[in-house]
Amino acid sequence: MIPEKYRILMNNEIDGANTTAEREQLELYFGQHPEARQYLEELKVSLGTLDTLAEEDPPADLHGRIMRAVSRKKRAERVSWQEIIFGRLRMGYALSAVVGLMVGFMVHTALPVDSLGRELTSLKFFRGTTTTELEQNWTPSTPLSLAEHGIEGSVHSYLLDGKVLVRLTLKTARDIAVSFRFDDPAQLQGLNFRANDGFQTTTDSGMIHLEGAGICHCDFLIDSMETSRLNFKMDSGEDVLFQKTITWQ
Amino acid sequence: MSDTDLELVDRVKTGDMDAFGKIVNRYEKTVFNSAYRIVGDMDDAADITQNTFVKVFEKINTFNPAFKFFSWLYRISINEAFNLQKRNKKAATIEFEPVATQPGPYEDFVQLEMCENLKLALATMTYDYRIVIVLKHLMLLSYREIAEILDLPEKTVKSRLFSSRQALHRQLVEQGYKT
Repeated sequence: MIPEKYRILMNNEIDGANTTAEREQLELYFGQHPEARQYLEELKVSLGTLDTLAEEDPPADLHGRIMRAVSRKKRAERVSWQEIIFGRLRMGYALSAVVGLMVGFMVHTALPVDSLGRELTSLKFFRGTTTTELEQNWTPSTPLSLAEHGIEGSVHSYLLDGKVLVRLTLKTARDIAVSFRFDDPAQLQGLNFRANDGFQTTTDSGMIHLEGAGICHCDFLIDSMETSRLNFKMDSGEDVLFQKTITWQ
Repeated sequence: MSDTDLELVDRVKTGDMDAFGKIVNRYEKTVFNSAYRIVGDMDDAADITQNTFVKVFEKINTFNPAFKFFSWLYRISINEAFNLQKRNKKAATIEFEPVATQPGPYEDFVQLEMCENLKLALATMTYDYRIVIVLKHLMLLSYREIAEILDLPEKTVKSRLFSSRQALHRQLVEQGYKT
């Protein structure tokens, strides 16, 4: 096992970024661990093979496909809702759509904001093929209300033994984007997401991103041993509606 | 003299499609290649490239000129690649398409074999590891640029890159490649 300090120096050596003093330190280490020098040389040779990967040409029609897709998007943006309902569709379809929307609205408004209906003591989280089941009592911290920012919803966090459970409940008629960002992707231990069709979620390196309109519930579990803060941001695509760093001890 | 990225972005914001076409010309091949190295499939890489540029067009007004345009663009493309992989559920079992082979001299054959070994090695790495290898070694980005794209501290990027380099080496050795 190579100590972290020398891992960094070896990494810099591959990039040719070590200073003279750093190179000397590394040489001292290699003096005591010749196998590490050998390993670094082998690593360099392996990485050198990456140069053999030639650039591939994209399909010849890709440029055209992209420009056509963007043009379609541009045209679609110009079409007004009135045109969609009364111009492009026949009246019968329009009426069906209106009835559908009314029914949808009734169902939508009939749903309570917190429709998860689950106790915190029986939550299950999934990450890859690993399931984490929580059956313990969590200590709630002060909830974060979004009402004062014109958004119906809240962010609760609960603490237990080096873990933080964050629960976001949200109800919004307009499209918004919400992101939770933490320092290391490995800290995310589980994610439970439930929403109507209007919402989508993606997880990226160190980030959970939700986008859409409607009702959504998102619970996620973070290993808090390494970090004690979470950056939470909500925006409408153009304006930042709300931004806060959630901290815990 | 060619237009800078920011000049083109400003023109796209006013609805100039020629400027957008120039952006596509400038970055299409790089986005396609990085996507291909991440997902290992030509068709998927083309879809990712297309979706990336559509997203760029849709969100161009949200682009913050304080950041580099290509970092923003690559970030979108990497998210697209990640989302596509998640949808296809083949992150752990991606298979690279074989390169069309033609009989040639021995050196060509050896290089081709090396290429295939590398593609296989990349394919068997985790997404997080593969992505930093692609950004550093194939797209030749700096640590700062990678940190910006992945939204990670530079220190984390460095540490992850070393682990990724080790993982790649391990994979190559397992495939019988002798250093």
